[in-house]
Amino acid sequence: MPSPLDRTRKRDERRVFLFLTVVLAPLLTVVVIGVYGLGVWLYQSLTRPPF
Amino acid sequence: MLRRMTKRYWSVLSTPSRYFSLGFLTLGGFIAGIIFWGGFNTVLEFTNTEAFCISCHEMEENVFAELKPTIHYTNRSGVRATCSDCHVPHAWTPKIGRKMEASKEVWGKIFGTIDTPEKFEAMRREMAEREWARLKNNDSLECRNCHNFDYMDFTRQSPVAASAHSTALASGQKTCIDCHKGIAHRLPDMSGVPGY
Repeated sequence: MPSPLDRTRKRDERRVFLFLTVVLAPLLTVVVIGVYGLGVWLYQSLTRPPF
Repeated sequence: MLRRMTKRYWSVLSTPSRYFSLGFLTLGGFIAGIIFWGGFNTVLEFTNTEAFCISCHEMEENVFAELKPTIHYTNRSGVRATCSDCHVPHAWTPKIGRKMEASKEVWGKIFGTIDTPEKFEAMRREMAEREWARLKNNDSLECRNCHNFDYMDFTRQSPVAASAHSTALASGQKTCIDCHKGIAHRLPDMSGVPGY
């Protein structure tokens, strides 16, 4: 029978796991891809020859 | 209180798990990643659909209306191009670049940059030039997504077309967009545009 402290710890671990997989990782991925896209856009606008 | 909570969760984050197996954490994270990536791409591709593009009245009432009588919208074979076929690169990196560039379009929608026919006409030349430059820069890549020069049958083209394609286009001197401006939308005032 897990002690109260163990149950708290287990609950905390579950919460952190869910936070990482459902919130943080997706958010960070979108931000990183967004920043990458901004870099691509900037690079293209600097290297594009005038029409 | 908040500091205590932060310390507690940080220690959970930075120490090995006591209650969840390696298999659960790895597999769970992997599956969550797959679900995320699928969702991300579904949304991304949704922003490439014609329905999404013309959800802005600026697009539906101007460029989409102009597209309708053209060959890229309706023709003998029923093979047609949608907005993204010409305006969104297929390759991932350029596509992501274009999607971030679209933040400018979101701004325009929020602040009404082209939300009346008059405003649209005033900016038509500038917007057209942007697309001409983009296509000139990538050697009309989006045209070539469908129109492969190597498989053009010159015997089935008009004499003017056959001669133009087999000379300037073949030599690389000209790219599709140099001659085929206005193929899908109405041309702006063309003063100062070479060849017009």
